[in-house]
Amino acid sequence: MAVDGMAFALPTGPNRPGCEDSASHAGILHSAVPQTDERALIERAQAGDRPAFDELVRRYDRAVLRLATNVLRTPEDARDVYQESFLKIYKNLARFRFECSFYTWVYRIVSNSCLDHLRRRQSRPEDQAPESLSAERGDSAPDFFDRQAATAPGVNPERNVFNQEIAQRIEQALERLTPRERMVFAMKHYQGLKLRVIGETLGTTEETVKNSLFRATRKLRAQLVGLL
Amino acid sequence: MTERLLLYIADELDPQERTDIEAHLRDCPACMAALESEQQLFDWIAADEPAKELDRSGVMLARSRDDLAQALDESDDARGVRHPWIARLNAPAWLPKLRSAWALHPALSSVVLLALGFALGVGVPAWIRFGSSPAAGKPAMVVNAAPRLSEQALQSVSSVGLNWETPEDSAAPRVQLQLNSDNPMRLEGGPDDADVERVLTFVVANGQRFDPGVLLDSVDLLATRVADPAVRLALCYAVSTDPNPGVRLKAIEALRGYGRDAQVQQTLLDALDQDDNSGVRIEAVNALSAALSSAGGEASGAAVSAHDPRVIECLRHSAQNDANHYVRMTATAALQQIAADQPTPPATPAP
Repeated sequence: MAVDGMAFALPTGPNRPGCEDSASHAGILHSAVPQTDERALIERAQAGDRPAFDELVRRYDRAVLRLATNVLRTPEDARDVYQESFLKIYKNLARFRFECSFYTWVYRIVSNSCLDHLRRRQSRPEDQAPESLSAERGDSAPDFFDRQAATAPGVNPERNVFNQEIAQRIEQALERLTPRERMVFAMKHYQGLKLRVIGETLGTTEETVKNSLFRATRKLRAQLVGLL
Repeated sequence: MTERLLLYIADELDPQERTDIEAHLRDCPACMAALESEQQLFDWIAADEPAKELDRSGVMLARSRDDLAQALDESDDARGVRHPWIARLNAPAWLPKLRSAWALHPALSSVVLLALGFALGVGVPAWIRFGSSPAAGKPAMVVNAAPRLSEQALQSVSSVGLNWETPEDSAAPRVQLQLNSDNPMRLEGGPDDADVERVLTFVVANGQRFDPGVLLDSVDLLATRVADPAVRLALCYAVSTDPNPGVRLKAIEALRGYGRDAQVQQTLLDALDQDDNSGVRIEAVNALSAALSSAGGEASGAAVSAHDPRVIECLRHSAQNDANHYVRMTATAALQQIAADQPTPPATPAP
């Protein structure tokens, strides 16, 4: 059907482009677009083509925000990291020489920004105390329908309390992790990255990353004793 | 062993190591129990992902994109990227040379200044008089009408900047649009302005090309223009295809008074049946039940009957089978309301 010069057909079923496929759901950052297409896009952006840069942002920003949110666990800090990272990418794009993949480069910038935020929190807790995720789950939760799903009558209330207990203990355990352990934890569990890739991104060895994951898991298990 | 089990669950072992572990687990109940405990921990961690909880509606991503676009624009302005002539004015290279010329040659500087002043004082008024005098065969004034937005110009738009506010003395919002393309254009007007409505409708119908914040605002502004079939069609398309559940929800809200229009009703039925966001499905229930209530809804074009059996069947299906408890509750309540609104048949007289 064409109306006023716009011709498009309404789909008969779910047909939303950009829906998360299994790869993006696992948090894998790299684009499914062939590398030659992405290289051309990057080169255009490096030449000052703003729409080309905007397209690059659209391809990666969902995963960037997801990583920042999973590491920092507060929307404000996650959005700060999102903004800082993409501004840094924009200003330094000319220095990207295709020596690594673009997503590795992006991930490095985002990870460094997350680590800076975590280190600032640790060094000045009285200034940086964020609202914890458990506080966010109260009346300040951002979406009306999100709250209904958690509190609607008919959902097993005992199960709800138990899940909240687990969530609280996980959060308490994460507060005890070092910034690097927290980064490795989030990149492994929520982004689904291989330890080797995490090591490349953080500029360290796979063995160091493995040890960070072991320590993080030990701390988590200690916090969840009695429930496991 | 615990660490090897952790790597096994995390899929970090090579195939031979995996085979060795699996062979060991078959004969070691203690290690199997330890594996189950590690797996439980992994499952709890996966279920606790903050990103899923904090931005289910996609609004945080939309706002982040908006803020970033603004920051990039400010960065471009500061560097003179968007207005190169500003950069040339600010360029330091010519300034020191000019300063030294003025300082080292005062007599020359004075002569130049006097000449410049004379030229401006005499030349400009003469130019103005010349320009305003009607010459034979030429019109006294040339009025350039504001350019209408051609279809080609609209199709070439790569991004849109949108700003709107509702003045205190008016109920209608005032919209400012910046259309970015090879020939950038600026439009101002209300949503009832033909060009403004065309741009907003174009944004909604091509949501993938535009910033989610602009898309959300466009849907909001078009809520008063749903009587236009083109606007309704674009909103239906957004409900069916936009990846952002916030956009889909807003589009359904905008369509709420048109649930008896055949196209809108089909869109709402599809959303209730297939949308993966519970909030969107709930809004679809509300829109369908509003259309079926005695107050009814407006419809133009193909209207459907007040109690279309497909709608009742879809609501019943959702009330019994939807995965979300609140959707089931809302569908059940809608069916009860529809039943309550049915006119009571007259009593059959006794023989």
